Amino acid sequence: MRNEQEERIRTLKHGEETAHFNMLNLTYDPWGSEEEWKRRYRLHPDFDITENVVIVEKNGQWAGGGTAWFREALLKNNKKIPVYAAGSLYVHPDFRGKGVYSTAMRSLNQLAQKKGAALGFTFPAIYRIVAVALPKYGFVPIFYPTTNVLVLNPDKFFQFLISRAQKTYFPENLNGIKFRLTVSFNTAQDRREISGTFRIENGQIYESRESQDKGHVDLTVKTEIGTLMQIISAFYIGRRALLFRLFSASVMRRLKIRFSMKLFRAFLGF
Amino acid sequence: MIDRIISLRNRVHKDDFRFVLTPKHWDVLYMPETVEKHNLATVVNDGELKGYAAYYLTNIEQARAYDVREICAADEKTFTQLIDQIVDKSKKDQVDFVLLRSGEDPYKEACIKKGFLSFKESVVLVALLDPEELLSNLSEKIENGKILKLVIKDFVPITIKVGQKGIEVVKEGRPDVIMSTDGKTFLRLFFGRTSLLRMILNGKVSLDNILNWTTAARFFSLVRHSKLHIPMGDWV
Repeated sequence: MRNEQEERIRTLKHGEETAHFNMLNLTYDPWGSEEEWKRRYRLHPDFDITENVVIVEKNGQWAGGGTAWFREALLKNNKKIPVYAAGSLYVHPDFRGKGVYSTAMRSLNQLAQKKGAALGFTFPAIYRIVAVALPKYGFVPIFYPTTNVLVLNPDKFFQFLISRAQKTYFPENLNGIKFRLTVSFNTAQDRREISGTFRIENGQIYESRESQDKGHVDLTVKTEIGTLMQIISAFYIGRRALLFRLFSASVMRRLKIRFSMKLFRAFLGF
Repeated sequence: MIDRIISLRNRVHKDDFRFVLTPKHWDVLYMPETVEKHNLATVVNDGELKGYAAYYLTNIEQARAYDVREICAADEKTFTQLIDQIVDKSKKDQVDFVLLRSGEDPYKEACIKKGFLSFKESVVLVALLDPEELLSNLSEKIENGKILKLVIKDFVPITIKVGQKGIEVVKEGRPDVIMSTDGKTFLRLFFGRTSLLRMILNGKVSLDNILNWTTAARFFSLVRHSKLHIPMGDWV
């Protein structure tokens, strides 16, 4: 009962647009530009911030929220059904672990049901923790779209991959692991090799500035970019897929890997 | 042009589960004015639109990339021509990489030939909110059929007449078979991600009269939507 009194669900009010945009950028770090906010929240057809943007308050404070975008979908008989897409769910850092995400997600589903949606959709990146959390709220993975990428600037693409990896949360037992990654790119002009040394701390990857001496590294990976991308995908899809990818890439000599016993033990525990 | 784009998309993806594309949605989701640069590649043969690709310049993690929101082609040759246009433009604009997310991958080989790498980085998740609304829209008047009572956990049971070529959601009827399942299993069967037999064996679907399992199997074969076309532009 106490919790119910402390928690309040409401929708965004006119005049709170900037606060909402700032909240998204604070929690997603970064979420996007003002133009992007305008596109999704002001220009999107049939969208009303006072109806579609849910806010969760705890003790009168803005703790989190989420957004519902309503669409129509076409069935194979060409009939239309109302659907919704849930997105931009966030929890203020001060309220993490207090059920705010659950409240926001359930509120969005209830709002969508009230508005007559037959199905709800979300499109998270598999490396984000929400992809793991969403099944709790009735969502089921239906398919994994393929991302095709044409690399024109290997250095920038390598940095892009590292930035993405830095948004991933790794299991705690991998904390303290140091690894060196060498990736080769075959571009139309030449063959490039790019390396970096990293460590996992607090479940996240950081670029390591320490000595790159092999003796200090728990894992050395040398591969070409296509194989690396497939291994990364498999990592998120499941342990069985990961083991299969690692095995097949090693057998086909597309992956050279050396690891310490520390990593082996950590991996078995993960 | 937008009418021709919508018409082509509806023709190419006529059997796919997809979001309705309106000119308004196209303007905001595929050709937004709020980005640095948006582009539309097209292939027209004898005045007929054969394919299009909407893509825009985006800054991702301090890199400049062309993000393809949708590519839709009547055939592989058109697809390749569209890819060529995108790659030429990307080189000219000196972007760092090109991202192209696709659903069912009809032209995977064409992408590989052009030097694209493929990987998985996203997932489409679906939640069942109103099965009756969903099935009512697949319902049509049918004369003869067996009555299936569909019991999905946490939802009101639905009575369905299952014919040879279609289903009809009916108000009442003495069921020939009662099928019980949960929302997630129903969705996996509806979108063709698993088989009914496997779900029965796993205990995720139960039938009160196993001899009438063909009615349940026919029901799913009639309502199944195995193919989805939800391009990147429709994601939020």
